[in-house]
Amino acid sequence: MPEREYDLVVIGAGPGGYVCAIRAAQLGLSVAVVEREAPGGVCLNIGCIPSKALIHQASLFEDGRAALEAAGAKVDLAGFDYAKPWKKSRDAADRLSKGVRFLLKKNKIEYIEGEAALSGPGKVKVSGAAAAAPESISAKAIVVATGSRPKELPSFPFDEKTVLSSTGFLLSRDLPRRLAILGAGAIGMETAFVADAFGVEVTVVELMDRILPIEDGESAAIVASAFAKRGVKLLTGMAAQGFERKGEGLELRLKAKDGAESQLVADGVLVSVGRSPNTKGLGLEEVGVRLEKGFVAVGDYQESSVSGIYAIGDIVSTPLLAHVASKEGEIAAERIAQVIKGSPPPAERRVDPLLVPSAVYCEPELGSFGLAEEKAKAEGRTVGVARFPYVGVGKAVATGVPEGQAKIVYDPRTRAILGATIVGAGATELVHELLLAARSELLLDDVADMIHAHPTLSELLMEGARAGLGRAIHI
Amino acid sequence: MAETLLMMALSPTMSQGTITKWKVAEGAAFTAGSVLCEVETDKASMDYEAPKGAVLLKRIVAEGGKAAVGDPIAVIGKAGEDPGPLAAMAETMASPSVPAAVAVAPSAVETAPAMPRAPSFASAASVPVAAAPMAGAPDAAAPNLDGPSAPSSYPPSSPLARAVARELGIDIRKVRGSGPNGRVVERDIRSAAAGGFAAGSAAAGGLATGGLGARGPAVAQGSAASSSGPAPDRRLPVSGKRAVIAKRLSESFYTAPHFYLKRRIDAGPLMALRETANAGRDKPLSLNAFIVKLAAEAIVRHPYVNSTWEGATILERSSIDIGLAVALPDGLITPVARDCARKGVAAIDEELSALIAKAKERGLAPSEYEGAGFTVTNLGSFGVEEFTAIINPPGSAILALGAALKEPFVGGDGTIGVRRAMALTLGCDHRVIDGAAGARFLATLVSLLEEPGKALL
Repeated sequence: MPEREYDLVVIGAGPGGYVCAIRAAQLGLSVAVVEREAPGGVCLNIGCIPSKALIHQASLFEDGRAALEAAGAKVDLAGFDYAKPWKKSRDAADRLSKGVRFLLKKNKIEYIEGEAALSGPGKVKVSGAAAAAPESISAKAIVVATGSRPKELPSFPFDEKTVLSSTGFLLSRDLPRRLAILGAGAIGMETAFVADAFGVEVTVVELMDRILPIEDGESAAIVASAFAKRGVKLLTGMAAQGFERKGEGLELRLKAKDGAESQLVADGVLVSVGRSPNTKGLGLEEVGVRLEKGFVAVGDYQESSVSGIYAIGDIVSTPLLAHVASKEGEIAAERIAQVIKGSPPPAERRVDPLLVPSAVYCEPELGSFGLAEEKAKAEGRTVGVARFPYVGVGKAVATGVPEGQAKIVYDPRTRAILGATIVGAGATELVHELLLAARSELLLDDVADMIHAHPTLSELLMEGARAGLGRAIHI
Repeated sequence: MAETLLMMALSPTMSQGTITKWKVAEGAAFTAGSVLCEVETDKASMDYEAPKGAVLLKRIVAEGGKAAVGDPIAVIGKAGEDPGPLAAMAETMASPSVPAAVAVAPSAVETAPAMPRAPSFASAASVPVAAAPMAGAPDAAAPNLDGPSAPSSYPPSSPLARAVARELGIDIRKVRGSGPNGRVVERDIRSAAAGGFAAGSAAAGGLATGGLGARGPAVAQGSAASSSGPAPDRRLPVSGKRAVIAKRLSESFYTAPHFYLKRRIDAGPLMALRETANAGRDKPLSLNAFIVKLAAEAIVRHPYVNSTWEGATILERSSIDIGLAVALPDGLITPVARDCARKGVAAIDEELSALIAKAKERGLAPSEYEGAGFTVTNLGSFGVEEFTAIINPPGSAILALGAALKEPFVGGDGTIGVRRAMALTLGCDHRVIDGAAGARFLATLVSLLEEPGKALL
């Protein structure tokens, strides 16, 4: 089919693109989505979802065995086959991807499989699509939501057999005996947890002085000590310079900050040093869209330097997180509907980075948002810091998860909550109570004075807030 | 027998009113002539007096709700009667404008008794202030029968906004919220603080808080710094008063063909006269009172200026009633000094200052601001050098005064001197006043202003 017209065409059906498309359809726009791979993007297919499925099974595997042994049972691991938990992770991904396809259909959104590129203002060309699909689309607005891919290191080119990206790891049905992980961010630490729980010998190599470099230092240290305890080697302040193949395995050349060189032997390497935006080959610059360091430069409402062309998710320089992409998708959709149909404007012009939750799903989990203590101090800001340990919470002790703490950064004058980092069981869920409080401009007092059910892990937050007011009870 | 009580036209131009405060609780008896509620309408807040004695069975329009003239606002009758059927019927008949107003009516804010600030805020840190009874309100102790839709005198606000307001000394009642449902959030307080709209400035007098188009705190937002990016655009509700200003001035501007005449005068003699007259007086006479008096004297000499275009006829007024435009935080009002030809400057000054004080405090009655045949407006105190004004109906001319500023001038003998000059701009309705007629009046006015003694002749 030669050409078709829509109010909005979205390029990419990841958590940014499909949410944007659905929100726009809800507001009465005619919408098409072009996707070259599977609906749901990296997040659903080769990211958040399958990795969480693996992490959950790794926890059950480990905790189940520990619980049985603690109860005096003998556990025989013979017959363990990683392909089985791996299959479950693929099933979860497939199921959710189909769910996205269903949601798009339900909202009467045209789903086009193919590779899209901008061919002019309001024009998108699609190649490699099925015969029934249009080759060219014209639209009043275009949202580019093409996401990102794992960043490659020149000295460690991906072959996805021994040198793996996160994609390669998640799609691999077996595990190496010894795994070297380059990069101790969220992806590196989560993969380290899964691999270690299933019996892989894991070494994490990080260039910076500590793991989880973007998180609160004190909290990251709690994660580091838990990993060290379980036998994962953490080599921080260490650069991986290259490798040689030696027989079946690999020998990595490492160099410490002080110049000391060493070797690390492994059967596989995961390179998790970040992600690169997919902004090439889309015709962006040809139609005048300005890029900055490979990311699309956007202003209010995610609009690029070309009117009518918007960019959301990992191709803009806000944190590369699925939930940020989704929110940006909503903002863009609501803005476009406002421009085209006069519907009400979005509640916000842009994502406030201080109100974006960050989550690391290893054990112990880490959930955080807002201003971290070091950052505040580096800026010369006087802040209050309140802490409360899991061990002071009845439920944490009763359920065998007494490690970790909640840390709240607040303004000592107004008692406004500026940020928080929780490390420990359920941290990625717990953090939202404090985030809601901060976003709603509630004070420590409000969290401290709200009755929290006993026994719950949420009492940790109430006690944390009380600690800031000098009246924590259980410590 | 129970009956419905309808909204009355409390002034000639009133088409609808907002009930800002009920003075009688449901179930309470009242006598004929007692005040049932306060109604904000046109440019004033007025009392709704009971036409007869009865018991208030049910309020149909809640506080903050609007009712068109003729709409039922309450059910009255004997004690113990069931208001149900009538109330239900009334509610289905009521005009669609009944839902409670989104924002606190400005006049209600202005007339609210001062709140004891620090103690009540300090103790309310974790209690929604919106729930706190308004200190000093006559029926604060009475049970609240208005249901959840009754707006409070306090806008909803976040705990942090209240904490910051306390810290910066901002009166939160005077800040409009930009959060969900108009909630006042931190950035609104910081904007208000940055915009200089602090608690005290309203009390310092309406004239100090903004121009004639004063829109109160809402526009004080502007360039304020905010921690989370620029503040979003906002839609503000239009108060009854602002709606009237918009309607009357648009009507005047689009129906009366305006033209403008300009003169510069030497304001020195007038300033000197005022100085002499004020020597030894406790309360100095305002410059505006002198100008109003001298304008009246000029009108005596050119009575056609004091008239109204009526289509088939032109009404020439016998009494010289002159309005003075006054900026209040919630909008413009023009109190009228009556029969100025027969009054001295002191009497005019007294009349005007009493009206201005009343306007600030609780609003004027229509009889106090309507019917000006001529209007004076002065933006000199804002540093405006000269400007044109829109004619204030039913008048046919308006005099706009700029600031009295020192300027060099060439004297009669050819030497250069310095004088206090003031720019006068006379706006006329050409249907009534032709250019030459306007110019003649202006010439007389200039000569009286420059040589006030001539007014005695």
